Amino acid sequence: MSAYILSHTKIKNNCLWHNGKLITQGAETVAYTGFLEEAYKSLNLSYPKFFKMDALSKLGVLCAEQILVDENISQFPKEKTAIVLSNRNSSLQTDMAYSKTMSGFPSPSLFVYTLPNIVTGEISIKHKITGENAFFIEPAFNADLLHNYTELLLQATDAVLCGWLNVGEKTCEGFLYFVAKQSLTDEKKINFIKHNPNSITQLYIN
Amino acid sequence: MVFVTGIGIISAIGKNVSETLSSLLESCTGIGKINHLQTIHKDNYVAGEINYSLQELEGLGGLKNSNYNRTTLLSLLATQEALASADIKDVTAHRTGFISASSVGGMCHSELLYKDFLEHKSHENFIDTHYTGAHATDVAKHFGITDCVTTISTACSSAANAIMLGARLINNNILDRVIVGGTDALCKFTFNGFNTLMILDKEWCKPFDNNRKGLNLGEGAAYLVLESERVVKAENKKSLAILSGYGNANDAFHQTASSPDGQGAYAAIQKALEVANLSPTKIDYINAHGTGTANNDSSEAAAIQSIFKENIPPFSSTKAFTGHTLAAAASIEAVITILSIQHKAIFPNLNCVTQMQDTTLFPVTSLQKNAVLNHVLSNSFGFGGNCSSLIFSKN
Amino acid sequence: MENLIENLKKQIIEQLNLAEVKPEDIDPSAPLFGEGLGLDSIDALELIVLLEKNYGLKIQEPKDAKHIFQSVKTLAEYITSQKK
Repeated sequence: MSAYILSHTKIKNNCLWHNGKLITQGAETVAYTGFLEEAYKSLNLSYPKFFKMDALSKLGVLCAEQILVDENISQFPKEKTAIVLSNRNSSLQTDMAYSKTMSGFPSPSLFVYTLPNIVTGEISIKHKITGENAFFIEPAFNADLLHNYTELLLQATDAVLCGWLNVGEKTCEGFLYFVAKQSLTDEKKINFIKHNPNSITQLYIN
Repeated sequence: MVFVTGIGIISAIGKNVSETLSSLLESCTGIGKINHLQTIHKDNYVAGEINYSLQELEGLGGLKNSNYNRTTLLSLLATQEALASADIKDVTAHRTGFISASSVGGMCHSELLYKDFLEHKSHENFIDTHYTGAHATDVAKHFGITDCVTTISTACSSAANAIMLGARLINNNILDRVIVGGTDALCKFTFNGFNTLMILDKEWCKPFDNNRKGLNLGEGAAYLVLESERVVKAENKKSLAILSGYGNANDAFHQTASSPDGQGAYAAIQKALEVANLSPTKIDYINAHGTGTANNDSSEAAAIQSIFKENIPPFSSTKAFTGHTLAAAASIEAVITILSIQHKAIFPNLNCVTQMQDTTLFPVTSLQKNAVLNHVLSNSFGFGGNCSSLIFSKN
Repeated sequence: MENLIENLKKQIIEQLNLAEVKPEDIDPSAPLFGEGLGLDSIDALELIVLLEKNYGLKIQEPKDAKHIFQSVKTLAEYITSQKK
């Protein structure tokens, strides 16, 4: 099955990139949680629910935004768009934050985010995506797993938003990319990248 | 085609398939007093707790001082039974994978040990087992499974998604055989959290009852051995059922609540029927998600009504037997579904008395024997809008 | 009562992470759920926590809280009535 990566975003070291272009950058000294909120403001998102989310969901929604509003992407039917995400830390930061509230007044809004796949839910809610979704927990970014699973899904769906969203104590890392079946892409448009583990890895590390 | 050649299960209604079947046939619930979990809610709530301590669970697996946490031990025991049930003596004889699901992971251990660790640096091992995928790595290693090992974590639909992935890997000739399912142990963190969401029933839950107050938590693990047609023929294996359909969709409504009309559920069921190439009229029984919360049961009933229209198949939730076992639920209920098919029995939706006001649907509330069960649908819907449905068919 | 209403507005904004909302934006009589601030079921649970944490008032059933959480004004009236 031939497929192409149509768009990709990355958040790392307080920088947000879209298709290799730097969109917004925060000061290195700012905590990543502060950067995520700054990035929201600089993108003019106008989505108040953003502030209720935990860091993992904020990271995912920001990374997904640039991709999903792209005119090449928004044409794909929402019910035939799948979401496949992964990370190592699951929802650990929020688990710890919730855990701290357990001895006093446990916070329901924190508990909601103590599952890694809530971020898939948040992206789905914001963009009304109703296709399949999966969340894998892996020791490190695994291009082979994402590639192989996406290729399986493309047998029954048109496009897949894939990637890695990992939130730690001091840093966070987001890498999302959008894959579509060759037959549905207009290859004359822009520089679509062939979908294979090697190209995925290259996009991830560069 | 994907065949189910082995099953293994441990939950509040039994430590293996045989005990589970007896409990189901005798309408004997596993929901009751909490004995082992040291939670502040112990005396105020009931749960589907497995009545074995950590050491006793180790003993069941022939282990001692293993350092495995409760989630991992449950996974190990159910996997052990599934492998034996499928008569697998050499896991390396074919390309074999292990895809497991969990939401708790090592939290059941960490929450007990981390304070000591912070003060005295004791129990360091638990840090390595906290990570959700640790149980899958440990169990796969224990049984020598190396070809493909991964962990899925999508809340209450996790195990169904593990089963789906397994089926796809076989159908695409990437693996010949895969052990799929999920595990979750009761822990204070989860108890506390569900209590905060105010969706726990202090008493025995009442799925699909108009006066339902919420869910009872449960714990357990269950695994299926899925094998390809080629391997089943080559080894002349007896298969327990066929996994004929599967579907997943996102409800895109709310982080933890289901849409009132059950759109995500509808889409998942629809996809499963398409994969199985079955019309809704061919479904003989539904093992519902039926958690006992006001929201899920209404939403699921709406979805069932929309798909099946005038031909609503008999349905029941078995969560009043086992409790809601979270990431393990879909595989525990898959095993129960397969037992249904094998024994031609529809297990009852216990503790349901009054029909819900907003629907004409009412579940099966007493054991039905000699049921014609060619195709059975099993639903599992998770937080994050993750909705999955599986269809098992008689061989 | 006015003091309580002003305090409640600030507490609600903080407890519910309504980062883009200022106290002066909240009309005390406007619905909190549905329209108005557009709060959802999880916000309702956080309001239950707020009542217990800040005012020592415990609500056992979320269903009972619907009329209390109608608006900031009804919330303030409830708190005042319980203090007697």
